Amino acid sequence: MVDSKIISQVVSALLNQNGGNKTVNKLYGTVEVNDGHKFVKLDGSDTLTAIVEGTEVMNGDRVLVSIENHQAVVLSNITSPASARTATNFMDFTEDGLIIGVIAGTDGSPPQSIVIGSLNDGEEGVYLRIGATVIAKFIGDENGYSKIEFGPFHITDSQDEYFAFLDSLGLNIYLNYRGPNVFDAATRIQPGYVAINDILGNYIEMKNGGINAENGCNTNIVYVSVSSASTISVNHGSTYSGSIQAVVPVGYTPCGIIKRQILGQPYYFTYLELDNTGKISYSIYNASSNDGTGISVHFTIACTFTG
Amino acid sequence: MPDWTKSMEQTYKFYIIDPNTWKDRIRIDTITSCTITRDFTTETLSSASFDCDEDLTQKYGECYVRVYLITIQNGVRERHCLGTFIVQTPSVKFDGMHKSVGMDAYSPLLELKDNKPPIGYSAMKNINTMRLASELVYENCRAPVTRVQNDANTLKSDFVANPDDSWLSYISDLMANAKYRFGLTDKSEIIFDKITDIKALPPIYTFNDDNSSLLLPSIDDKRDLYGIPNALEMTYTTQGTDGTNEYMSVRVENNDENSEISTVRRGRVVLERVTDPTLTGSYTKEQFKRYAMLYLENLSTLEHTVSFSHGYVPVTIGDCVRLNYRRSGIVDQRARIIKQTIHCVTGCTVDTDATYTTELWRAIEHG
Repeated sequence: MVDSKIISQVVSALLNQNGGNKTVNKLYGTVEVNDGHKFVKLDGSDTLTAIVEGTEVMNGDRVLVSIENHQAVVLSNITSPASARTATNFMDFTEDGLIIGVIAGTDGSPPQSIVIGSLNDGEEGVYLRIGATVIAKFIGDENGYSKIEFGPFHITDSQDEYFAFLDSLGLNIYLNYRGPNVFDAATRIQPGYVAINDILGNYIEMKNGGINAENGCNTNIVYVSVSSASTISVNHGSTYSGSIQAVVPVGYTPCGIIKRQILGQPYYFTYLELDNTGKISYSIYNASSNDGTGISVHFTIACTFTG
Repeated sequence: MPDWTKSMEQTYKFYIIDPNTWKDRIRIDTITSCTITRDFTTETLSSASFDCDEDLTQKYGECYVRVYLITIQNGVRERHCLGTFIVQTPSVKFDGMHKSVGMDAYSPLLELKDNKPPIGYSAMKNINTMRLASELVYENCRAPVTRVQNDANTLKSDFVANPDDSWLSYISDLMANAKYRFGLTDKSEIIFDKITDIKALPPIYTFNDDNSSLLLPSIDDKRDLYGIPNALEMTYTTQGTDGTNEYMSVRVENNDENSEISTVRRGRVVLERVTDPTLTGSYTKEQFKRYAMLYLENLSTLEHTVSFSHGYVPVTIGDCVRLNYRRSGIVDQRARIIKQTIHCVTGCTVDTDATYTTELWRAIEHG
């Protein structure tokens, strides 16, 4: 017969062994940043606990902390929803796309998120948005052509706006000053062609074969072209006005300033020539065509400087 | 100090003390017997049990009792304090005629054990370890504390209180970083002992079995080969404060023919696995392997526990003594006292456990 006292002692010893030493080493807490360092304020405590970040945490996050061997390790971030992030600078997926940041609102206006999303209006590509405004589109098609569009950008104190795109042809900047969706090319930089167009319609083009300038007020077009015969020609519209020729001076070959005065049909040409002997010739031609052939009348007044 | 090996008159005196001044206050003459146990392996280091004719806790509330051994030798009367204990657990026995009250009492370290640090209490990196430990003991305990002011050790990482820590366990672990541990003076004032290897300690007393010996004849020497490994697997995962993770694993083996516990001599592998070595910071593979070798070498020591009884001499736990017990074959052996039971009866006998170790394997050259 075993003494009942001994039995109760054995039972209590066994109970202590199995259930008595239950230790809790995982605790919940809230992250607090103090003096640039991250701490956790464990639930039920007033003190800040130094932590090792097993996972990334930010101020205000709810976390699960394990304390073992006198080290507090953040096991997981249980913040839900992760509001501390979307309000500041954390990436978040939405229906519109990936939010990569937020621009703080000024003067009480709400903050605007910066979003990268995919285009869905018939174009294939990606857009970059601030708030509801698309500031850039990156477009590609199945043939491998790509295009980057910027804008529209509003011009300060004006309803006018402009946008730009870069495609396989070059850089184009378009300007809208006449109303919604009516765009004029303001500037184009394309291979073999550079144009600068201003808001009044004045433009300068540089392209293969010459420089064109147009005055938007009177639509006079002046062409300046350089020919292969070392000649700078000036045309007014389609009408030839004159040229300056630079020729290697040999014999009596004309060089220097040549002025052609076209007086109408038949063609009259007036030349002022300066040759390599220092002789100035003034000639009047009457020709049946404007290319200098078929000369019928020819006057020459020559002044020779001697000694 | 009397000559402990010569004859003397011994009596005991008991006082209730004032915990604020730590001085004797009321003399108690109802205590009939007393046993004091000093044990290195317990948290509070020492405890006592009293038998008394009255219930002290009923009369005085929770109180501290101090025990004195009074010696009179050649007409010289001296008082030796054996300890101060807080009386906790009374049990009353009554046999129809006579009432006897048994009381368990503990060292003042109990006050640290009874209270806990705030949840998540942490000591910050770079703080002076012993100054903080001294301050924490002073704040959380009424017993006098001898502070350590000139130790230069600082914390290498933040030190957080475990959820189940008491102040006693927390401060003990904190001090271990600076290689200190709790100690008690003869009056049970709290002190901090530097942890030193027994090889570095001079013996403060020699127990001889010559004619004027204090040793009682029986002695018991135990050694235990069980559980001494000859192979070690160690895994270490670092968790840096910047969130970096690193992982190292190593296996070392003692296959030295000259070692009696090696895999070769034993003919089998006795494996020890360590998955949470107490390392901080990052190590190279070589350093880590060396650490594992030293760890296995540390485990390859055979500990002898010697139990013997002797008349009272003022040595205490943690002290290094020299054992000369020629008749039992123990000659000039240095040993550390790990447990003492002082019977406060005529003759004041002390049962002592002391340990000494023999190394069974040297892993590497120690430079």
